[in-house]
Amino acid sequence: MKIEVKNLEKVFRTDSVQTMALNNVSLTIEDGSFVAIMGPSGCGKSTLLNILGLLDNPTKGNYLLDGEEVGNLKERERTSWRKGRIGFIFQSFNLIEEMNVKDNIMLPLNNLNLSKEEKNKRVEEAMRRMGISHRSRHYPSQLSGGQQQRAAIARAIVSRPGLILADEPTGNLDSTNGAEVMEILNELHRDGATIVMVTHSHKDAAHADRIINLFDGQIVENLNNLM
Amino acid sequence: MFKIFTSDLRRNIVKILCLTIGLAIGFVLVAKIYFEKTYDSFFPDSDRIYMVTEMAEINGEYKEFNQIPGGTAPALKRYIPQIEAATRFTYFVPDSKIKLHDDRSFDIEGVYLADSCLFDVFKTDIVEGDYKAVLSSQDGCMIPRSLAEKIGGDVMGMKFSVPSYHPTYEATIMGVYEDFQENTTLPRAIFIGLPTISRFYYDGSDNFAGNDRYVGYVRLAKDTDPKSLQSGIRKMLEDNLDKEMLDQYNFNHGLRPLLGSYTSQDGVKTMITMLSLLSVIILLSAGINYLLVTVGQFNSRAKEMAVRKCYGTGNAKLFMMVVGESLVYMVVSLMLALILISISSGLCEELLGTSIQQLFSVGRIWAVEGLVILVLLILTGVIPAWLYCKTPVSVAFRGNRKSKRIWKLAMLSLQFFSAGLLLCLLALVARQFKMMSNLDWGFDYENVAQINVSGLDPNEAKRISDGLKNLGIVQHTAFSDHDFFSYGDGNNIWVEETQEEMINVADLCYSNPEMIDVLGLRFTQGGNFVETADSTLHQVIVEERMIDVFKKFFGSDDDNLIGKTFKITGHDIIGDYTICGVIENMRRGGFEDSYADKRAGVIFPTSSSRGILFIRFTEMTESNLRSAQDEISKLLPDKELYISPMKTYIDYKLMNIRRFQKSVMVVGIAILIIALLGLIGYTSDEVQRRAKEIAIRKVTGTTDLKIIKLFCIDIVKVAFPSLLLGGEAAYIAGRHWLSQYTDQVSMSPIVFVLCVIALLLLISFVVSLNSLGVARSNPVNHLRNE
Repeated sequence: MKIEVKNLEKVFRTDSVQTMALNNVSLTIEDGSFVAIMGPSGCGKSTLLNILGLLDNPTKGNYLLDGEEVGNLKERERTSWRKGRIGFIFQSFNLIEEMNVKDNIMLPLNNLNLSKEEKNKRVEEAMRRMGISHRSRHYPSQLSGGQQQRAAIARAIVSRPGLILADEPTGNLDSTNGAEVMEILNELHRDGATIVMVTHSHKDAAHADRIINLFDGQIVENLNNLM
Repeated sequence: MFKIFTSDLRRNIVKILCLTIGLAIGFVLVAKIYFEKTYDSFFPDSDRIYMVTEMAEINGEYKEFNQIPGGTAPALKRYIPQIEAATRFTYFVPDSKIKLHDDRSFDIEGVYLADSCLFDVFKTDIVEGDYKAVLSSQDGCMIPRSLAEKIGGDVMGMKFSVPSYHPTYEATIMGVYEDFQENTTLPRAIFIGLPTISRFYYDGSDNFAGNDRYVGYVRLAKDTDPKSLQSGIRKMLEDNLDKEMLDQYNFNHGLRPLLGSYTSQDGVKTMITMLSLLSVIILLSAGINYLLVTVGQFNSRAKEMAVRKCYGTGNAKLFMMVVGESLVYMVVSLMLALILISISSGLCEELLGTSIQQLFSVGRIWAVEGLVILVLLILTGVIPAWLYCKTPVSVAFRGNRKSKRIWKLAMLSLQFFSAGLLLCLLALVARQFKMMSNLDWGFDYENVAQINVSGLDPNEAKRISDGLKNLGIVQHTAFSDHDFFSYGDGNNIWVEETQEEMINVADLCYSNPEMIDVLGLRFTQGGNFVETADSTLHQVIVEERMIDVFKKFFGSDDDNLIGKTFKITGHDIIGDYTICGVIENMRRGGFEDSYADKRAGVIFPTSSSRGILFIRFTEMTESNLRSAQDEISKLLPDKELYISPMKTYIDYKLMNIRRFQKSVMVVGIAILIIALLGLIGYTSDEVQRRAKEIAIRKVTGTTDLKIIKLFCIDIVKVAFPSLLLGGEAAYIAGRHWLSQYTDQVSMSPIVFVLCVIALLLLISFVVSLNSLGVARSNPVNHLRNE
């Protein structure tokens, strides 16, 4: 999935304060690439990721997904766009505590018009790929951090999205589990998915094709990763 | 759904518990309000039924009376073609027992004498018999179906007597009618054919003036304006009454709609207002508490919603999901509430004076209750759903605990307001009840009991009186025609020269001179009768209120009434009555202003043993009462006579306020529980939210007490103004409620302030208890968690 962002601005307003979270951001992410976004806290990384994931609209500027303008969509239209096309991976996993692993992974498929057999097939496949098939009936609180993140990744990929957005996916994991998660992302990348990852870790960023550095809402560095 | 329920079990149980309590009490209260508001509406064409009233000018004042002469209603039908049906009936025997030939007795709700058109106006299913023929005959009667079922078998042709009132008279069951609903102003009684009246009383069933003992109703043709019938009424009166009399009293008849005649009474209006207030408060409190808990769960649930949103679940689906959850909670609570109502049906009946079965079978009550559920569902389902849907995904993931605090405080303050209102109101009602329980009735009833002997031969009655006096546990006995509690009969004091009737007074009829000792009546002037009615002295004893009557109507310039004379209608002796004694005013009628008999009372002397036998015991004990009852049964084994302490009549009159007191108490306790559960939930959330802050404070040396104080002050800042406002609202509602009573307890602000302080202390205690854990905990734990 190709991403094109031109002169993007995002302003947050409260009664007395106006904060410019993103200022004149322009970038292009080619289909099938793996991009890491880095920068200090409060520089606008998550805001950019939210806009790219159609969770929020920019205040100004253009956002084209596969050539289609999506920067000014209404909430309902954004929801419809996300269905099956974008997968999310969060630092804190955000699994639903009241659902078991299988139901959590099934969640994105419930909004797609698929048969029950197809849904089950895809969930089984995603769990097998993440190595958590034996945990399908467990609840999130019964899993380790690494297993929870694997379940979250399974949920992100189960609908076979063209774009995967990961917000500090290893932030809550130890180094062994973190490395495993990055290996999974690499694998997904190799399979052709476009991945945009926000991270503080240079080690994790090293896995990406390109590293974008943000500071005070602006892109200060946009480098191809030669490693 | 089950996992969602169990994942936050404590909060979800609180939700269901509060909704159950709120729905159970709210449902019953709403049903009672509907029951009261729909009085008489179950009669077919009830909107076309009108009561015939009588209007006359007395002492320059135009008054409307509910009772009319016997001939009026049928004559109106003859004169006015727009009147489709007309009926009249009159009281015969009050609530009592009937006795069948096989010696079985059954409670009845009175016996009335009614004409053959009764069921033409008040249509109901006739189960058996030809009501027209039955009510046109002498001694034939129609009984309600419920009574027929109690009797069992084929009731047609059975004969019964009413031993307490007319031991020798027998009526025959010749028909059965379907019971009127409980919410009717009509007697749900046995109706005996009107021609029977001549066996007992002067037959005034065709009178157009005087003998105003009938209640008359008419049913008008569709689209008839009752005002348009005035010329027909006038014509009927002019044809049947002397024009001079019509002009002298400005005599006329009016038509008062059946619908609304009950709800327009001041006491009923106040009751409906207060019940409405209670029901709104309890339902709102339950709904708000549900919201409060839901907002407490907001952070965790909002993240779940956000995840769903991320993966394409639309707002509409989320909205339906949250409303659906709320619906499930509502259904569970509803079922529990219905179980609770059915378990506590006895208590409900005691509090409301109506059976639960009747309450929930009136008209469209279930549609009304459905509306209540819908409103609650909007409050508990739609608002949270809207909150979840409008929260952006990024905000939900950030988990801003503080953002919903203002909501929680607002809802908590509403609950404090309700609790304040109810507790202050309860204090006021309890004080009023206590005051009314201890009111001076103008006589001493504590050791006095009564037996109705009106159905006995005077010699038999005297035998009972003498027999009881010989028991050694009775100090005095006396007979009277009046029970001294009820509203007195009305007769007019008149002036011979002008033949003018000056004022209506309370005719307390005839009493033995011994009544002074039995009731401990207190003389302020003069003394007891020196001779009985058999003499030519024509003495009377009057209440102190008569002083004002003499000043106003006879130009008396002093308070001394002894030896003064007057004439009064309704008594055989056409001559002057002489006042021999003046007693302190007595309390008659009801406690409510509209029922209190404030007219001057007059007592006439008699030596007869008739009416009601009053017995003063040396001490009112269970064993003394039993001994007296045994003695009566021994003396007259074939008669059913029951002795009852006068206090039971006082208790009966206090029943309404006692019921209201208990209702306020039940609702008050329920609201207090709901508010405290809400408070506990809020404090727990706050303790969690501020755990790090408290830990830092502790690290920097803040004591446990200061931390508890911190939480308490936060809550008190919200609770104090809310409770004050609740107290103020209770003051307004209480003043409205009190206005119906003749004697009112003072509206002292101190009581309201004390209630507010008591609630504040309770709230502070609960907060202290809840925050004690975090205040005493090791701060390192909380800092590590962060």
